[in-house]
Amino acid sequence: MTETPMREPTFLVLTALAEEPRHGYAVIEDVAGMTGGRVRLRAGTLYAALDRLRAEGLIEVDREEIVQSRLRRYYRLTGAGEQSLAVETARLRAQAAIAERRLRARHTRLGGATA
Amino acid sequence: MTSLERRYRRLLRIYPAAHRAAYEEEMIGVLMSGAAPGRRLPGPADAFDLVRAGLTVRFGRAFHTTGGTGWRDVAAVTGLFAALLLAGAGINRLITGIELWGRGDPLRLHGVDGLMLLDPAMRSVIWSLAVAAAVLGLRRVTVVLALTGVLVQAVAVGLWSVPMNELAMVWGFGIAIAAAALFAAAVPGRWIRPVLGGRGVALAVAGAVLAVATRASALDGVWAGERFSGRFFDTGEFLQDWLPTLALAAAAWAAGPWLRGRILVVSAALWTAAMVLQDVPGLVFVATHGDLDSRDAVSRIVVLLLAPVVVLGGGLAVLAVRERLAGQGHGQVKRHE
Repeated sequence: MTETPMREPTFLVLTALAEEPRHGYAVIEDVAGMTGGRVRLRAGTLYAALDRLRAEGLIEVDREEIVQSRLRRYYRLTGAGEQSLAVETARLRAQAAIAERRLRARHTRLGGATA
Repeated sequence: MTSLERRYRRLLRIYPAAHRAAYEEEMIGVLMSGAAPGRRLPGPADAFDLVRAGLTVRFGRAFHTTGGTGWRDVAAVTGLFAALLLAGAGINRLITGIELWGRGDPLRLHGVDGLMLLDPAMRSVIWSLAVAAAVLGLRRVTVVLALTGVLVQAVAVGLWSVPMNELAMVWGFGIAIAAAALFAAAVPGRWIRPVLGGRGVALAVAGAVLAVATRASALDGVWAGERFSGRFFDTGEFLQDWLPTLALAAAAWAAGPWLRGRILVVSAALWTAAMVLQDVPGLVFVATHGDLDSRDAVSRIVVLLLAPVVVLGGGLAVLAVRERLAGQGHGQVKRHE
């Protein structure tokens, strides 16, 4: 049996942190940017994910800053987080490849018609 | 403080105090950064999301704490350690048996030559397979193998208790039940490799290999005879007992700060239970044969049986205090603008 598939917000948060350590609002912005605005994480969802990922050892606190009297806590990916993201990426890639192959076969079978 | 911030703070009260201590200031920062200028009321989507997430944290997360980690992760790792302990015990006994057989002992049990080797051979195979399945991430296969291991351990208890009139193998049966329960509890979680990481799994496997390798040198006289004069391993106590333990401890260390404390506590309770269950049958045997005052025997047995509970309870209490202090630490906002 394989690992339980990651939920999309989790995958996107880990992807955002894979580039560099980011604080909460920067993660929201990055996720919105990389999904073309399709996914805009809300604070409740984001911190539920961050808390769980911290608890699971997939991310950790990088540093804290105070900007305009507000706390900014930067998070970074841990080794385990990098590994989890790599595993999930490979799983998604494999599934996408199967879907692509079947779509191509269907296209060929239908003589080029897609519908 | 603006009215919007005040309202967000009021909404955040839906979260447990420990979560607020850890994240409230940070969440307020994020919520205020995302709010349109001049806004006075939280957006409905944000408000709904906070209520939903807050209720989930408050009521829906039996296996997580704010600063801590999932107990399922701990169950997966300690299940592996329990299976390694049982595999090691089986292999150790099998090696001793083969050594004795090599010296001419018939190892007769119930009138059948060599039958004494059957029990350790079965235990070695089933628990080694369970360890391999666990490391490979085959969750359900691991649980099935561990349950089979429970049956094998029950057979071992029966096999030895009839002629020897004692229950020396009860400890293995108890730890086997614990291993099966731990693996079953861990199935919906992350499992071993994501918890320990590649390095942690390698260390755990190294610990197991070391344990077998250092013990297997006892077979020199059986297999190699005169051909190999030198020994690769010194079978001293350190190599045989402590080095594998240290390797397993290093594997647990690789699980990260929050997990390692819990793994340590649960493993220590398991190890204590194994030690206690090895001693209790002997004590019962001595007491029932009149060599010990019965009240004295009962009190010793009770103290022994309470030992794992004390180790587990004490360890969990220490962890709870540590996590509470850490949660307070996370909640402190550094005022250094």
